[in-house]
Amino acid sequence: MNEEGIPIFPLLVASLVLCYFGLEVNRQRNKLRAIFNVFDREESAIAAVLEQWVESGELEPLVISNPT
Amino acid sequence: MNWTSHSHAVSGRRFKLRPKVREQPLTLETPRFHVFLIDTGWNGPVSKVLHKHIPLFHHYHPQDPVYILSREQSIKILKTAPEHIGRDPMIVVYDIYRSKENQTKEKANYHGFRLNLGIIKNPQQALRKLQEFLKFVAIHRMADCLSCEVERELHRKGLGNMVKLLREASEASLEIL
Repeated sequence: MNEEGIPIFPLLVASLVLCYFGLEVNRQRNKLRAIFNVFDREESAIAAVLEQWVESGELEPLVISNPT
Repeated sequence: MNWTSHSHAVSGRRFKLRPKVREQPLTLETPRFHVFLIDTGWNGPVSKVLHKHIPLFHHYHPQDPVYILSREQSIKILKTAPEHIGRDPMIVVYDIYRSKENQTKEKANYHGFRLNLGIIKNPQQALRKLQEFLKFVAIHRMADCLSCEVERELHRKGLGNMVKLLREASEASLEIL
């Protein structure tokens, strides 16, 4: 077996680069999902409060009208 | 420009944020979303940008009502959902359209989507995200499965980030060489 033929150092560096790349892609993906995402019925507690506020007139839609 | 508001309460209709199946096909003018801006005001620079530009949402989509919560209302809301503290200012968009076609459980549970701008510290970056968000809503407002479009958008951005990373990595290695 020719031990000198195995380039350990470049392989190690390449593995580290790949690991870093994978971790960075994962980090950015998580950040993207934290900023922009969908929600489901688990958030019905928020929806119930908002519905109540809008129905009672406590919260009103924004209307922008141009001056005549 | 004069900002006024009109009450939903006087109309006497029940206000519901739950999605419902619609018989008529979606058009560009069909009201589809209810938009809520939640902001406790801790991220000042991003809040300023958001409040300045949120009327644009109304200009682009006048058929979809925009509600701006006061600081006190935002605090009350986040008390009911403490997991979102620190993510505001956030735009929460409830989608009241449900497709007639059979959907998976995950897709059937979909109620809307949101943009958590409080995570971003740079106001310019927040403005860019807001522009992308507005564009996303404008492009996909007739989509049958909006949760699928959100997934696609995230995937597309993820690929874009990978390319950017690769480019930066190759530039850095060229500099080292």
